[in-house]
Amino acid sequence: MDRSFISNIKFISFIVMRTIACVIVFDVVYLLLMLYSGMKISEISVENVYWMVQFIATFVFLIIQITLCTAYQKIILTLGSRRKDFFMAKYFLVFAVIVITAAVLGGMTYVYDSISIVKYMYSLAMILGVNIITILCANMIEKFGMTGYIIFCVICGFIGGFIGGGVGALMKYKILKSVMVPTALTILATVVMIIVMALDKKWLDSYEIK
Amino acid sequence: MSNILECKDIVKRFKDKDALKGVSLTLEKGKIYGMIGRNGAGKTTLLSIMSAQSKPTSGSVNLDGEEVWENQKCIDNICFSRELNPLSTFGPNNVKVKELLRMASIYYPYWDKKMADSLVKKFDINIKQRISKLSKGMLSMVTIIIALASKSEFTILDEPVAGLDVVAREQFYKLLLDEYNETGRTFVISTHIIEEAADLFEEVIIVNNGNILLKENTMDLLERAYHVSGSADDINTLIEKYEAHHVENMGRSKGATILFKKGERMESSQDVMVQPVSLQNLFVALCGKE
Amino acid sequence: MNEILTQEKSIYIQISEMIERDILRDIILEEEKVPSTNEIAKLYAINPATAAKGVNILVDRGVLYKKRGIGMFVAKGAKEMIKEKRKEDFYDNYVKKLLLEASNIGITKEELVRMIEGSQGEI
Repeated sequence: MDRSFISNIKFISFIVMRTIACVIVFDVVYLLLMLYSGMKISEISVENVYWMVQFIATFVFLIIQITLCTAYQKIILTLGSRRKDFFMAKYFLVFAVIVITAAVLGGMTYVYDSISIVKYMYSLAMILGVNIITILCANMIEKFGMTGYIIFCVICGFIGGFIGGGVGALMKYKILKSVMVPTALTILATVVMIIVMALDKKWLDSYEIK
Repeated sequence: MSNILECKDIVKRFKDKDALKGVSLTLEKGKIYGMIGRNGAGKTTLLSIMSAQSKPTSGSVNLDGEEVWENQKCIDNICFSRELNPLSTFGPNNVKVKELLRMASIYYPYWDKKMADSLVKKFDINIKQRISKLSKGMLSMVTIIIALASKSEFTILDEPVAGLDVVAREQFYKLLLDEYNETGRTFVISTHIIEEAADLFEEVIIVNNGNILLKENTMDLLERAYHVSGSADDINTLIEKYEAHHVENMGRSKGATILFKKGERMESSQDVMVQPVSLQNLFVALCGKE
Repeated sequence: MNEILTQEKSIYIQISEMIERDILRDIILEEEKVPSTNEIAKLYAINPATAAKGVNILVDRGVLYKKRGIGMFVAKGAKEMIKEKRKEDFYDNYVKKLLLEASNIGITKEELVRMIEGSQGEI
């Protein structure tokens, strides 16, 4: 294994570890909130939709952190990393997390009837969708600095709002409950992701360190 | 072992200007090179390309015959320590010093942690500070520490003393010499503070307007550069005969900087005052006019 | 040693002259060790190659000799050697300039001689 590839893995892990405290805090707060809102300890199980949300959210957070490492491009290249290795390490880690999440969720879907394939597919599509937006935002933050950061936060806000309020409302439409729609969305998301990854590589290769 | 870093016909074109117009340069290991040039001459661009951090529009850079671009074997032996300016270190890039040192240790294969730690202590740098909060001097020191502790065979420093006061600068020169004496690493140092560093450079490279004006052993260069002054007639005779620069007039008195070719000598005349020129004065004479 | 470098001459020449002066003034004695090239380079913040060139001028003339693995030493008779060479160079380095300046300002040779004879007591 290439030493430089491993260096990049180490670097990205180091960056992600710095914010691991946030994840833990989030998880604890979420748990406390749910207990406060009346849930009983006995109800804690993975089938419960609240837990599924927390589970997915934790992993999505990890994915975002990994992808946001694009913003460290400048330091990484200045310290002498190859662009190839940084790109590979980043996506290796991202895909590792996505695959693990998908596998675990898939396992849960198989085991628990309460988690339908529909929900599973929507979750996958959402995970990929978030990654796509993060790739684009990370490049924006890199190019535009402060402004990019602000735009990223605004987008996060919108997504949060959408998930919170909008999804419930959309569920009125029967068609959205069929397996076809989310599956199609997932496939579309995969394709878009590949396109965006190619863009990311292009931007990285033509990046000039100022 | 890395021995020769060679640039062949490097051209770098940006949207609005031609930064490098066909630069060829050969650097041998084990020397201290000085690179001087005006702002915008192309020094940083050239150094960035030499260290495989930037791709030339055309031309190639080879280390011992192998192309350096995206070549890990070559990159492992070259360190380019840029000026870290506080403005560019926004957001995620605004890391703490100790994080930056940790990152350096991840990427530089020959990183010497002991050296980095002892230098940090020696210069009293607070490693818990974020780099945007460091003073100019501390920031310069951090980039110097990273360059020295990288222990790379070819170590390039871009204006390392820019933020340092004179006492700190002298400490840097001594540090550099210590390291050079101990390891014989190759150093390429670009600087605007020419006179202080002139004596350190075994060879000096002058970059002007995207071209290499000259690359020569410093002692040899200074032995063929003189300032002549006297009556306008006498000086004019010399100007016609030899390569003259930076001609100055004041009334009937005239002065010029003459650059002799290797081995050329001037017949000494009673009436013409001949003085040796410092590297700084020579640089201004060669690159000052525009 | 420990003088300040000037711009008047090449650095390596100044290094060799400094060592010569120290030998003449008995600051370094014959058969004693001279500071190493690296020490000199560090003291003056100059490239070791430059320091080495200055030292080698003296080695070539026999003023210094090298003891393998230890360093450079002042040769026996070095003081005399230096004095001899300086006597040879005295005319070019000092007398010529003296005569030139004297002629520029109109001091005759006789006046010069009178000045030299008059100064017997001072130096």
